[in-house]
Amino acid sequence: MSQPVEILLDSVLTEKATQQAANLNQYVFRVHPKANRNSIKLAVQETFSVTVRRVNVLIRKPKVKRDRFRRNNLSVKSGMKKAIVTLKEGDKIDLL
Amino acid sequence: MKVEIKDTNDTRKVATVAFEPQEVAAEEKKVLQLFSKHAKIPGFRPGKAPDQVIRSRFADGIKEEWSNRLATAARDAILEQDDLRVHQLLKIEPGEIIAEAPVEVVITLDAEPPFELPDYEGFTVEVTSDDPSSEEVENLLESWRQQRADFAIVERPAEKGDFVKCSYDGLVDDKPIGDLVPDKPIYGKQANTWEEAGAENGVGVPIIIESILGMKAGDKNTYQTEFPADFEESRLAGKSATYELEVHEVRHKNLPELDDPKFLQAMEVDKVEALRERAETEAKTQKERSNATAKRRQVRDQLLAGVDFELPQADLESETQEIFRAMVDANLRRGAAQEQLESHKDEMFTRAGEDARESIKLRIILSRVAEKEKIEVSREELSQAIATQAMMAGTDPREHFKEMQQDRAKLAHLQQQVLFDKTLALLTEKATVEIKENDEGSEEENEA
Repeated sequence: MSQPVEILLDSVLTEKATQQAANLNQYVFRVHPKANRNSIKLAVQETFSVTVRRVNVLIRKPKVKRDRFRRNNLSVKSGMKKAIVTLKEGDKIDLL
Repeated sequence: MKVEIKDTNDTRKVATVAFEPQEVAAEEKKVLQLFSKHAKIPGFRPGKAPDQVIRSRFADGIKEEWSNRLATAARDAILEQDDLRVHQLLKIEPGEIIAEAPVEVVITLDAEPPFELPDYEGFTVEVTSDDPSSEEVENLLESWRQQRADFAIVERPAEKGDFVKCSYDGLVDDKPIGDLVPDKPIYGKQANTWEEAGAENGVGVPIIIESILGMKAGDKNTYQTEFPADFEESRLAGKSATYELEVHEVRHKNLPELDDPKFLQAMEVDKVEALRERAETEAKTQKERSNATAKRRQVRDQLLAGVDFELPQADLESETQEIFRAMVDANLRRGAAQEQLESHKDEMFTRAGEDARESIKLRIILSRVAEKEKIEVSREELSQAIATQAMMAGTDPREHFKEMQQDRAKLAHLQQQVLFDKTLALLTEKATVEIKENDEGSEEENEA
């Protein structure tokens, strides 16, 4: 797991993420669970040709929920590792 | 927005509506707002997704809606042109839409041709007097006597005017005529049919009508005949035929006398004088009605003759097709054969074209007159027209009303029809009426 494509799995596209991108120059990615801040920073810099100032990482734990589409049986909402990447002023990533 | 109109001919025009980039962008913004309000995108509340996200998710739908809106705006701009009386929009072609670039919408349309309204207040119409002549009253009394005739069985040979029940079978070259003309059984084989002995200009086989004169019930005979070369049924023209004829019954037509008590009772009067009075009243009513129709027809003819202009091509084509279809349906309902219709197709189509021309020309002239005279159709008049239509169709007026409300095109068509009738009625009222002598009038009315 050293390739950027293996580290950066997907960009997160939500209301909060778009506001962060617009206002704070922060971009949110779903990353590989074993990725660390350094590898994430390198991956973003390599993929988008930008300079990363800071990386914040959070892990969302899997949650057990009742699935109303499967007769309220228990199912697991999968967890993920999210990275919030702050870019240097002036750098931008066009995710859309 | 800039509108440019080019003439292809007097009625066909091509309009180009050019939108500035700002106008195009403004429309796009409205479309994006519309989509954003209703779009369900995961991760975003309704109305909160950014434009870029909406654009990327719904690119095709946005482009289509954008194009439609520009086409609608262009159409509205054309319809608002004062000097252009649009008859029908034939084609709307929006150009390629690129953000922040001008867009052109090309509309092909048929417009009313320019023409001067004829002087419609100076028409003169000729009709006969509404008062019936004594001959007309006598004719009406005679027709009532005919309606109430009784037919008594007689044993004597049939005389002219008698009604004869007979059966006949015709052969041409030993083949049944029914096989030659299967769509016209009257010429072939008939069983127990009624014929008027010696009738002039009667419908049916001439030899039968002549031969039953002098025959009585139970008589049988065989007759030879040759159909004339110009016989109305071309498949029999010039052919020799043999008919076997059998008479079953002879009935004499008895017309009641005017003072016959049964006749007077049937007519719901008690005296001959009252009967004559009733005949005069009814003859007068009939004359008034026919005079009204004649006046309208004459005004219509003078209106059509008073001006000439090119007609919108698309309208003419569709109206011709509609009239032609109605002609074919009417003929099929009357029992005409498909082959017969095929052979007269060109003639029928030409006639349909002429009728269509007259109809469209009259509609255009009447709509101009209605506009000039500020004639409008009120709600009550429209409701009345719907009720009349329902009555003629034999349907419930309330159901018919609901149906019309749902079909806007039908309602608009009916409204237009009422407007034209009203306008024609106004022109007829304004016309100067000249009274002709009754003799000339009755001849012309008979011809009409």
